[in-house]
This record gives sequence, C-alpha cells and structure tokens, in this order.
Amino acid sequence: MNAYVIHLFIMLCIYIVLTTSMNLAVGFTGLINLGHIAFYAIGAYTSALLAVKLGLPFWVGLLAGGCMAAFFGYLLSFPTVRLKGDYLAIGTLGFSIILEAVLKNWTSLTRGPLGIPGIPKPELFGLTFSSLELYAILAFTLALITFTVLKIVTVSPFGRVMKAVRDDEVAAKTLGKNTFRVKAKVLTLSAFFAGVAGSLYAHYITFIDPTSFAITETILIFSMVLVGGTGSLWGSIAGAFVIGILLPEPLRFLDLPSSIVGGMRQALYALLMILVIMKRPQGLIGEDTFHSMWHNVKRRFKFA
Amino acid sequence: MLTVKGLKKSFGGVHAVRDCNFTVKEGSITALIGPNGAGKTTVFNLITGLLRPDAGDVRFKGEPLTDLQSHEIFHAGIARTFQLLRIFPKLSAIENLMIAQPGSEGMFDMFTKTKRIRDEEQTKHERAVEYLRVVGLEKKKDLKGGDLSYGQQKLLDIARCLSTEADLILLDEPVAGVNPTLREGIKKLLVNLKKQGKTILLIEHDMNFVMGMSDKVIVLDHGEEIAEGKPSAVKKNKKVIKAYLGE
Repeated sequence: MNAYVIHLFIMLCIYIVLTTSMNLAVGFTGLINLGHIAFYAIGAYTSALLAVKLGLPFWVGLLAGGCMAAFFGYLLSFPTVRLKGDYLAIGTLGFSIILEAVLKNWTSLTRGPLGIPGIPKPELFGLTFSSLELYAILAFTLALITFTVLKIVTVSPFGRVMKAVRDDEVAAKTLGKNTFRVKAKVLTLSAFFAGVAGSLYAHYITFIDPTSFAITETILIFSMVLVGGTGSLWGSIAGAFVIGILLPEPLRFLDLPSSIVGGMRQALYALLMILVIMKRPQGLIGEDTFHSMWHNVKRRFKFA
Repeated sequence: MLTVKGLKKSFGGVHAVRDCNFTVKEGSITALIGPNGAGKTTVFNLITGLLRPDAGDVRFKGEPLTDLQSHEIFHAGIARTFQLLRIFPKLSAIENLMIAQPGSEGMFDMFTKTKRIRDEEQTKHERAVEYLRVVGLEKKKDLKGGDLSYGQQKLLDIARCLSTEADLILLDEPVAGVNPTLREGIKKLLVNLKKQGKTILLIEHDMNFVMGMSDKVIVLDHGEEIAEGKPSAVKKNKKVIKAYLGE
C-alpha cells in the first residue's frame, strides 16, 4: 500500500486516541479542558526520555507516559472544585502554556527547542515495528483499545453519573454523587490516554520538540471534538477524520505555493466550524444521533 | 427526626436566615411557609449542605449534618427537589430516575463486576418505571428530560426525589405553576407517602394546598420563625396575617 496513505492512517489513529479521550472530559463530563495537549506532551517526553536516556523498551515508556500524564491529570482536577465552565478552560489553557515553557527551557532534560532526536522504534518479542505497516497495526490496536475502554466507561452507570455532573452538578451532589471524585477520575483517565497517544507519536516520528505540542495543536484537537460531536465517541472519530485528514490533505495535491495552502487550511477549518455550529450544533455525529436514527427506523417499520 | 437550632446565614449585609429553630417529627408532613425572600429556600440549602451556615446546628436522627458534604447528606437519608428545576436535561426521563438508585458506580465496575452491574441496572430500571408510573410519566420514559414540558419536568423531579428511598424528603414548591388537577394528584401522592412512613418537609406559597394536609406549619419571615403550630392555629395568628397581607 501507498506509504502516504499508511502514514495518514497512523496519524488518524493517534488523533482518535486524543479526541476520544478529550471528549470524555469535555463532552461527557462538561469539563472544558484545554490542557489536553499538555498530557499528550507529557506522555511523549516521558516515553522518549526513558527510551533515549535509559534505553527502556517502548512498552515501558508507553505505560510510564500514560501514568505520568494521568498523574498530572489528577493534579489538574483539584482546581475543578472551584473553576467551572469558561474559567476552567482558561485555567487549563494556562497549564498547557506553562508546560510548553517548561519544555522549551528545561534544557538539561528536554534539550529545549532542539528537541529529542533518535527515539527508537518499538520492539516486541524481537520484532521491530520499523515498517509502516507494522506500526499502523500497533497504532490501530491502541486506538481500538482506547475506544473500547472509553465506550464501556461511558455506557456504564459511571458514565451516567458523568453526564449528570455535566448537566447539573448541584442536582448530582444532592443525589449523593461525589462530583469532585467523578471529575478527578475522568481527568485522570482522559490524561492517561492522551499520554499513551503522546508515546505512540514520539516513537512513530522518532523526533519530538516543543512545537509539536503548541497551543495551536490544542485548538486543532478541540475543534475535532466539537465538529465531531461532544458526548459522542463515534463523533470524535468522525471529527478526527474530517479535520485531521479529509480537509487538509487534498490541499497538498493542488499546485499551490505552500504559503497559500497553509492559510487556506486555516480558512477551511474556520468555515467548517461555522457551518457545523450553525447547521449542526450537536456535531457530525451527536450524542443522540444513533439513538434517534434507531427510533426512526423503528417508527418506519412500526415494530415499536 | 430533624432538628434545626439557631441557624444563621447572611450574604453580605443581608441576613437571609437569622436564628431559625424548628423540629420535624418522624412520619409527619411539615410545611415551611412565608412571603418571598423569607429565607425558606436558604434553609433547605443549609440543611442539604449546598450552603454552610454561619452559626447553628442541624441534626438528623441525632447526628449533626453541618460538617457533611451534600452527597454525604443524601446518603444519610435526605433527598430534595428544587424550586428552579434541576433535572438532567440530556438524560432520558428513565435515566433521570435510575441515577437516583443505589448501586456500584465505580469507573471500571463494568470490567470487574459485569454481572452485578447488569443485575443492578435491571433493578434500577424496574424501580424507575414504577415511580414514573406513580406520576404518570411512564409513556415518556425515553424522552430527554429537557424535552418534557415544565409540568412534566416538575413531576419528574418529584418522582426522582421519591424514588430515592430517603427517609426525609424536602420539596421546594412542589406545586408552583402546576394546574389544579395535577395539584390534587401531588397532594394525594404526598399523603400516601406519609402513610408509608416517610417524613416530608415542604416549602409552599399556596396556603390552601398546605393547610389541607400538613401536621404542622412553620412560618418564616425575614429569616426568623414567626409562628409554628397546627395549620388552623397558624392561619389565625396575627403576625402571620400581617406578614402575608401587610398591616
């Protein structure tokens, strides 16, 4: 298969891990967390440093990256006691700006803007995942695991509590839900998968530097979640595909100077955002899309 | 069952509740009435832990509540409704009730206790349907809470509160904005609940609604209790008439 297509597929899988996990906090629990990319960065750097400096295998780095991100996710849940809605968005945005500054300036550890080159490809049972095809299988497997775990969590009674916290936190409290603990758990799990995505990215590109985790990336992932549909994991997949692949990639094949393509891409994102907000505020695949489709089918065939 | 002593709460310079004392007897219906701004809802918020009192003591079955969090107070056995409805708009009617039922709700319980969760969900569903039927909403069970009409949302809120098996139920204006037929329905429901041994404390503006069924009426004005007693006695109290009708 075409190497370019496989590359896109791998990136799509990484995006899916990022968007579905971000949606868990943003769409399902109502925690507008703009620090998600910081967890991604923490996972990437943890995993990369463990591999380059200590020579630890990818699998250890992957888990360590996830756990390190989860730890920071847990820490970030403390401000949510006080910060709600827009305020939380600004607070978490601050967190990701701080993290970017740390990555750029803690040169003894991160080499700052020089980045970390030479991150090894994963190995398992003596098999090196150096070919694109093998890496694609790995990325797909991890995306599938993420999706499955998040799906089960969101349809469980815990998922119902998450939505209740989103819909009305005061009512959830007076119905006996410890809403702070719910939010802490959600942010921890969400951050864990972002860390996993970061590790997956680092070992794929084999080079990371702070620019891969800038604020603009946060906005990109956030738009995927919004356009795809908050509170819907399938929506997050759709959003990752449309914004990550469908929209930007065809522009490469137009014979245009790169300065124009870059601007056009941003304009297209903006246009799509406006269209979705106006015409389909619930997102491409909203929280209830499948539910109401199923309802319509039942009505049409009158077996309800 | 519930004892409130010397309860105080001010917001800035406004003394919303000052020195409020009353008790609620087990198995009774007690009404908390008073003009707008008398501090009735604030008292509810203080009991359920949404607000911290400046001073005073609230005891439920002899245990102090003032240091507990809202969710702990619920587990102690107190459930409430809200004057401004607080149903979950994006959850379906049935889910709005299922969430009020006890069960394991850990993040990974679906992985570790699959069987147990499945059984619990079954029980929760049955109980939720039962209570939707009580308020006549069983046909709306799959509709989103936010898609129901105001009156239906009100009933949903009440049903959710009743379905919790709490010993003490706090209702904040359960019949405000509800039509007369439905009003009678809610009244019957509350009287029935009392027969089943539940204790009810309710806030209401509609005197007639309250008078017919309460065992005791407490009248608040400017954050203070101005009268207490049997409905018939309170109705004739001069202070109460003054608070409601002016000089």
